[in-house]
Amino acid sequence: MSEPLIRLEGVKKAYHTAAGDFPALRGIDLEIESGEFVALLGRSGAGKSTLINLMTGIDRPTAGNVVIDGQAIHQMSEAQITRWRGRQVGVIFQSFQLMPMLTCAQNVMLPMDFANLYRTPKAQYASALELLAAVEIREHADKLPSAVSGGQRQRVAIARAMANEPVLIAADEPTGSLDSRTADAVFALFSQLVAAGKTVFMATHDRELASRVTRVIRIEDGELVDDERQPSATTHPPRGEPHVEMAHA
Amino acid sequence: MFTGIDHPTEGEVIVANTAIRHLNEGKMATWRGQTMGIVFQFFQLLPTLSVIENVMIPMDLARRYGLTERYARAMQLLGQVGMADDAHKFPSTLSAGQAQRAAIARALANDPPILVADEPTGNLDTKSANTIFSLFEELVAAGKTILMVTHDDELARRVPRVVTIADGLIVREERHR
Repeated sequence: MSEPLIRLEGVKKAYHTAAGDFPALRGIDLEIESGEFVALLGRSGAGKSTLINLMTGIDRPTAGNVVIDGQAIHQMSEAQITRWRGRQVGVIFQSFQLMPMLTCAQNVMLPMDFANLYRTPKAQYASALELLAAVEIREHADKLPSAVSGGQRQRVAIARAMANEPVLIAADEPTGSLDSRTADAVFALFSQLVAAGKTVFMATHDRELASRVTRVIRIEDGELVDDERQPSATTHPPRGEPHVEMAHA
Repeated sequence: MFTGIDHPTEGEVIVANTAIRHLNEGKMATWRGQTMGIVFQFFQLLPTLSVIENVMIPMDLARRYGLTERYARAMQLLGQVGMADDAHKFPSTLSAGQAQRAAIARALANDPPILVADEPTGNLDTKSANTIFSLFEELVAAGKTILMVTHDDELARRVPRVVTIADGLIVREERHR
């Protein structure tokens, strides 16, 4: 059997606090294959963000192995992790995390420099416009994030997460700041990325959205308590969603 | 208005001899990147990039410095704000004061003549706020122009010029020494 895209073995994470060590993750074993669309469900404080941060190398485990696409990222130095993440992972946050002083297009161009993609600024800009077109906001390319809506900002963030052509897209509550209609549209974008072969790992507390992915994992108090596969769940996107070609998917 | 992030309904904003409302969005972005460093209350560091990479962002976009020069310059700027030892850490591991120092290094990346800071100490304890303010004083001594929005009267007393705004009008202007 081939190596899974993501393999977590005995992963523990404890945070040191004034009141003593707080175990955020208590021993996680998890394998995710390439092309899966996984929703991670759990209450606030259950360990969702910690798990995402370990998978993306933003944080390190206290114990255990984190192997992504054959790379043991728990053994890498900070500099190696940054280089690895720049090439392999696109990360999307609830609060978008766009640079306010940069235009939407410039925000999308950021990861390209770090991944050494498209060496000329002209090629980077052209590629950013293509990605923004794929998420249907090309006309806002030269605006600042403050000039566009929340849903549009998250589209920019998704375009940015796609900019380095990553193998894994990790999203931490990507629809948490959006109204339900906008959340639906953002979710449809993820479905299309998965249909185009990407692997998406999404932390959410939205059960309705979770019912539409291929696999649902539930975390409680730092432990995985449920793991359910829902084949063909993404084949029926909600009605009325425009079809978007992901140019870089 | 100063930063070109918003536009006036009427009137002209002229910064460093440029009437900025006549710039289109693309030109504005280039102009802003070269002329102005911006510091925010909530730092706005990218969580997926290390501190030094955050500092290199404006240089990557403006391309005023060569590729190899960028790393050395970012390291030098981090040294200037006392953050060289934290260059390879991620923003999530920094204190608020450290994050703001990293954000200041980033604002200085393209060596802009003007630094605009919107409540830069609003999210910091007094000690960290003082460190940040001392950094600003050093920058002004070195020839930079700093425009800082603050509601901290104590800090405002320590700058050479205070402009007070109320209900959309400048109501007072004082120069110290």
